[in-house]
This record gives sequence, C-alpha cells and structure tokens, in this order.
Amino acid sequence: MNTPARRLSRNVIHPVALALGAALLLAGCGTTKDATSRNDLATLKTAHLAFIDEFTEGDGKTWDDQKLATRSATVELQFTNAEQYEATKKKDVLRSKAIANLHSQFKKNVKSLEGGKTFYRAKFAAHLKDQISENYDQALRGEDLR
Amino acid sequence: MASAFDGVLDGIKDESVKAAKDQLQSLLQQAKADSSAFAQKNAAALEEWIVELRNGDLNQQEFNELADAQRAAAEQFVNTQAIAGQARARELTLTVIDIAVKKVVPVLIAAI
Repeated sequence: MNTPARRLSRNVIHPVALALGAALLLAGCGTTKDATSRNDLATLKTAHLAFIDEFTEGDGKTWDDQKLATRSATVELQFTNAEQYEATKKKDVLRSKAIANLHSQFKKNVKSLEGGKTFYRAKFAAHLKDQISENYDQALRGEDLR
Repeated sequence: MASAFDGVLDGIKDESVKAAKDQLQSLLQQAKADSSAFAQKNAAALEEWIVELRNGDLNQQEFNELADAQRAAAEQFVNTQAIAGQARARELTLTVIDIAVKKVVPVLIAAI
C-alpha cells in the first residue's frame, strides 16, 4: 500500500542516496596536489634528459650494451618507484595517465637505442630532448593546475 | 616570401596528397597563430623536422621517433586543457602530427 509515510520516505531517501552517490563518484575521481608526486616528475625529468645526453654521440664515447642496460635499469627503477607511490594512494586518473605517458616515452627511447646499438646523433637528440622536456613540463603544469 | 617548409610542400607534386597538403598547411597556420605557446612551438618544430628530413639532416626513423615524442607531449598538453578547449587543442596538435606522418611525409620520403 502506498501510504503517505512511505511516499515521504521515498522522497527523502532518494535525494540523499543521490548525494551520497555523487560524493562517492567525486571521491573516486579526485585530483589533489601532492608535493611528492610533483617532485617525482621533476626528478624523472632530470634523469630522463640525462639518459638521452649519455647516449648521444660525443668525443671519446664508445658503445657499450652493458652500460645501456645498467643506466636504463636505474631510470626504470625510478619510474617504478613513482608508480608504486601513486598506487599507495587514492587513484588519480590524470596523474596516472601522465606518468604512464612519460614511462612509455622512456621505454621507446631505450628500445630504439637497444635496436640501433648506436648513439643518438646530436641534432636528433637536441630535438628529442625538446619534446621530452615539453612532455614533462606539461605533466608538471597539470600538477600545478590542481 | 615562401618558407623552406612551403618549398618542401610545393615540391610534392603527387596530386593524391593535395588535399592532405592543403589541410596540413592550413592547420599549421592556425596553430602558429593560436594563443597557445605549445601549439605554436609544436607547429614550428614539425615544419623544421620536415625540412630537415627533406635535406637529409634527419633520417626517416629519427623523424618518426620525433613525431612519436611530439604526439606524447601533445597528449599530455591536451589532458591539461579544460574540457571545452580539448577538441581545439587536439586538432591543432595531434591532428596536425597525424596528417604529416600518415599522409604527407610518406610521399615526401618516396620522392627523395
């Protein structure tokens, strides 16, 4: 039977349930400032650009597969640490996408060097560093806009 | 005065890519006139690499790697834009790169 009390209860509960749902949704999509996350991005930028420099042609440089493996593993570990830190917190989709984008870029650089077994040419490396630097700057800008 | 980039595009005589060339030139002009410094820089870099590819200062693999890196940076840029501006940001960056890489540059390389 549709008593007045039941109608009242339906009218009251419905908006509350809606508000709770909206609150849960917002909490799940939260984007909040985090100094450690920002610092991780800045540190990764420095490491990634130094890696490109290290594998760009230069006087006295000779190709060494082992050196590439060692150096790429070091930077890879930094990415893993940054991703693990993010995994310990409430999921932030934008930040996760930003780090995944940068990590993917680093993996492509490593793969290209492993395949070519030769140093980057200077002009190419300068252009590449511009793009990588811009990518990190946009990710950092994303942090600052939060 | 025609730029080095215009000269490279003019050198592509294949009629099958005329529409793509026109679209690329139009979008690059819009990007260079846009208020976004990122879109301006993106367009200028792409033009520079295409000229360098034509002149042999970059090889095809290097060009492709740069385009990939530029695409990644552009995706990062688009993700930082407000929803309302994302479509335009995408058109002036990612669409420009795609037209250059998928339609115009293959014909340029074949003609070198």
